[in-house]
Amino acid sequence: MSIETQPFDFLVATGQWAFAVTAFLVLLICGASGLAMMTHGVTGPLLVFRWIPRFPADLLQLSPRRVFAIAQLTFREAIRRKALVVFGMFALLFMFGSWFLDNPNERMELQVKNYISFVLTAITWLLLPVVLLLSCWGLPEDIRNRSLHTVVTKPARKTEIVIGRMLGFSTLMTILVVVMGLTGYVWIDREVAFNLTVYSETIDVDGQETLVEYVDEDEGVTVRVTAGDEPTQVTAATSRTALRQENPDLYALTERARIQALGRHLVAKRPVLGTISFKGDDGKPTERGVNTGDIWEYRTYIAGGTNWRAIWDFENVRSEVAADGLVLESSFEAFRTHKGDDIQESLLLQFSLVKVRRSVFRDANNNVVSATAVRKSRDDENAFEATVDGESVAVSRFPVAAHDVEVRNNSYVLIDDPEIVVLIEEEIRAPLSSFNISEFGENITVLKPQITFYDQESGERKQLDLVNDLVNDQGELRVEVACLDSGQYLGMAQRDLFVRLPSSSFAVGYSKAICGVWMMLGLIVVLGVTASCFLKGPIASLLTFVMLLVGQGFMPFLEKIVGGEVEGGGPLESIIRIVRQINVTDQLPENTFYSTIKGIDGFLNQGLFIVKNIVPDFRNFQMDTYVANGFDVPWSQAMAPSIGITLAYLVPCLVVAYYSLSLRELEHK
Amino acid sequence: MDTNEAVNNETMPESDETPETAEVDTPAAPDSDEPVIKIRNLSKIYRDFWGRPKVQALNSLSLDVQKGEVFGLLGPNGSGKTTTMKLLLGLLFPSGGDITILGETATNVEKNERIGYLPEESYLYRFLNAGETLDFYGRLFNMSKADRRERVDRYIEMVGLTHARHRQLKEYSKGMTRRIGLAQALINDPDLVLLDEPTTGLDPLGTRDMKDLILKLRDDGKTVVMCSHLLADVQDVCDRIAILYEGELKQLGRVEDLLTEQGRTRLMTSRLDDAAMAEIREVIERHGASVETIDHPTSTLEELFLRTVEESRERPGRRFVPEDAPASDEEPAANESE
Repeated sequence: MSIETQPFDFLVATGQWAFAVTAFLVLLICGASGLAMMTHGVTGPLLVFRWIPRFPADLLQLSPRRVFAIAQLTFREAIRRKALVVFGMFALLFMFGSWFLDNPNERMELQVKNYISFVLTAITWLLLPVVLLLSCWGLPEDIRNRSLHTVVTKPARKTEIVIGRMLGFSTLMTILVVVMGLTGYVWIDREVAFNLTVYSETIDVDGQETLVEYVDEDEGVTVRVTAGDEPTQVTAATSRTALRQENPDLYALTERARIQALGRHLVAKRPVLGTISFKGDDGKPTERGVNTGDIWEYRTYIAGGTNWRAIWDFENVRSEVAADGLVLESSFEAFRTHKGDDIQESLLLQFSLVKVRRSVFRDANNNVVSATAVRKSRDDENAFEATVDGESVAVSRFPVAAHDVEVRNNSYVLIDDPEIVVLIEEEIRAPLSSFNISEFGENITVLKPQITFYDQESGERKQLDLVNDLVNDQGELRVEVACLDSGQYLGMAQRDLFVRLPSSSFAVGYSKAICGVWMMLGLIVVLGVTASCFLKGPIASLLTFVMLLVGQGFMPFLEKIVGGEVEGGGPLESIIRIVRQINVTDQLPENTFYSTIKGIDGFLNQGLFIVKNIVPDFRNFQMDTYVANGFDVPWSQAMAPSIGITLAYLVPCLVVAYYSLSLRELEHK
Repeated sequence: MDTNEAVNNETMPESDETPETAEVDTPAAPDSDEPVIKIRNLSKIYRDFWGRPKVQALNSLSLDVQKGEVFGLLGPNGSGKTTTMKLLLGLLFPSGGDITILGETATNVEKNERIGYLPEESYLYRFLNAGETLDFYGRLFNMSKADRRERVDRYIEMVGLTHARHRQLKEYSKGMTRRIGLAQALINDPDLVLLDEPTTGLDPLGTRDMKDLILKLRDDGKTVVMCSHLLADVQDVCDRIAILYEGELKQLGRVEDLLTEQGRTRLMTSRLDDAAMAEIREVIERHGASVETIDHPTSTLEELFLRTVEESRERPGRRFVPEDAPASDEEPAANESE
């Protein structure tokens, strides 16, 4: 069982990358050949092809010593250009940041979220301009000052210059990120510890569970200690310092509890997400729950006191991870249709563990047969038959995994072939005890290895083994959620319920987020240095910044435009609609003029398609959301794509940088 | 196709913009070996953004530079000296013609292993100090750490910058920058040294050192190509020169050959009295020639300056006191100046 819902396939990614790079290079060669043909006639393309092998040859003869010499020079140059001033700004932010971030009236987890978001955002936005400007201005300044002349007239290769530059800026950036990251970590830890004025923790004291409740208010410190059945010991002191002096043993106890409380707030939870589906009041599966009119439909709702259910299917629930039980964490949002005294009370919720069997059927020719055509054989109750093309044929049952199935039109169907209905049979159902949910906090449900429940059919209490009895042969466990309060609705989304594996340390999650920032800045260095090989400093900076802006903020919009999902057509059509005041929902007249406009828009759209695929998707580097919300950063969804993107851009950028430097006259103004 | 050919083809105009490329008679060089630099019909046209010709910087230049000679490129500002130098180094691409340098094409990186280049201005990294600068350039030649350390010490001492070794170059005077520039050009012990205005910014002592060094390089079998508009410097050190004007080669040959006036004779003797002078004048006129000038030779200002500095070093404390200066308490030194 892993937190990775869909493993990142490096092989597939590499294949796609190779295809994209090949397409890019082919386009580049075609463009260059066309240009060469215009300037040199028919021999032009030949010249281009003669230049092609020079890059790999240059790369193969690369000297690490020269690369490191140029990297060290770049590093020194950046340091002596006062790049480290950024530390001063960082220090200023941290000295006074807590003035604006501390809010004792806010819940602790929200404060922690603020601190983490602040630190990661500050690091990113302080370093971005520094790294961007340094990498975009380095080479053009060298060319302008002609310092580069003394380098290129030595046996330094163009690839060595480019890689050395990238390495030098990356080294500086790494030092900045590491120092700022460490400082930020210490700051978060101190701020959370400072603001942790109320906590209640159960700790082990000499083998006995002891509850330590601590409250630090303006009036003084109050500590309540309850050990087993012993009477509660309450101690008050004027301050924490006074407590330490007056009662060192008790102070030590509160410190242990405090560290434990800190560990709860600064944590990197490792969730295993399941696939979500719903069951309506009529008992049929549905894709979504009830719409309560919320314009933002992240969550859909199940009606309380009805047959509505939200269903999560978890996979890979094997004995090695579930032998000691499982922890379910949930966080739901209520939508109340009536108020009164109930408004103060939380809603009642019930989980049911269900063992299901998902099957598809195949005939003798191995063709998959829809479950709607399948029935049990009259002759053998373990055999199945189906009506195919009007004839009754024997079919065999095959298991199918939860992630291959989705709900469509009130049926479970195969994702790859929605025509095929999947048979879902409920084998065992174990309803758990109901509980009141905490609407704005986390609900923890511990599933012990032995599940005890009340069986409504037999009217008896039963005990089942979690792994052996409730998990099916494919290692899948279904959890059904029901709201028991009539008239109230409970909102659910996929991430609202998950199996929680033992948490990672906060430091691990935080380091991964810092790593994300580092990789993003690394990519900026690569893009900046590449742009600076063929553009002057200001223009290279502008180009890199625009790529960042588009890749970070406008990518969803770009995807919509390229996907044709934006109403109002392409750029020309939009202009015409604006000028002629035609509503975006109105159909344009069908004539030659508008057909031509649409044709040109289609062509421009292809250009945007290229832009979308050239500009890196910087959203992949944003890992602060995971950490700020107390989660570990998953490898497949965040780390692997980030590493992949950074590496993927390195090679084409090197190619572009090499030819840009080689084909330009450095002395030419 | 080699690199240079590719570049030429890429930059060479196809139409009537092609410069005249008629073969030029290249005067025989002193050495019959394969030339270190071979330039044939070299042209360079600077173009504007739209590719239209703006300036013809070089027009059909052809010349050879032989191994072990000091070759000077002369010409007024804008005559194409520096352009030629940059074409040799691959910093510019020719519009036409061919360049072979140390048997390689101009854009071939490998040739740089054997080349040292002192740019017109010392375009070095101003945030580095002298030691760091030479160490950096040494690393570009893949030298080992021990080798670099030894060479850095040697060349810093050679150019007389030991006292300023740890100062950043931005604190250096122009002369000091030229010296460290020269050191970086020699760090790889090159076979061919290209010096662009090597004496610019140097004081007379530095100029003399530079000229001595150039001659020493020649004695060591190195080839030196320098361009300058300080004619006296060129005359002092160059074996052969080429004079360029508006991008075209106007003169090429040995310095003494070019400077010797075959139609005139100069006779230099120890001091003669008037009778002897009259007798000589009579002999000359008897042979059908005429005496144009008779005077006492003067030394050059450079020689005077160097002699004064040298003597001041040997006998510190002595100073020149004009004869009409008021008497001072100190014992005046004897007048040294002549």
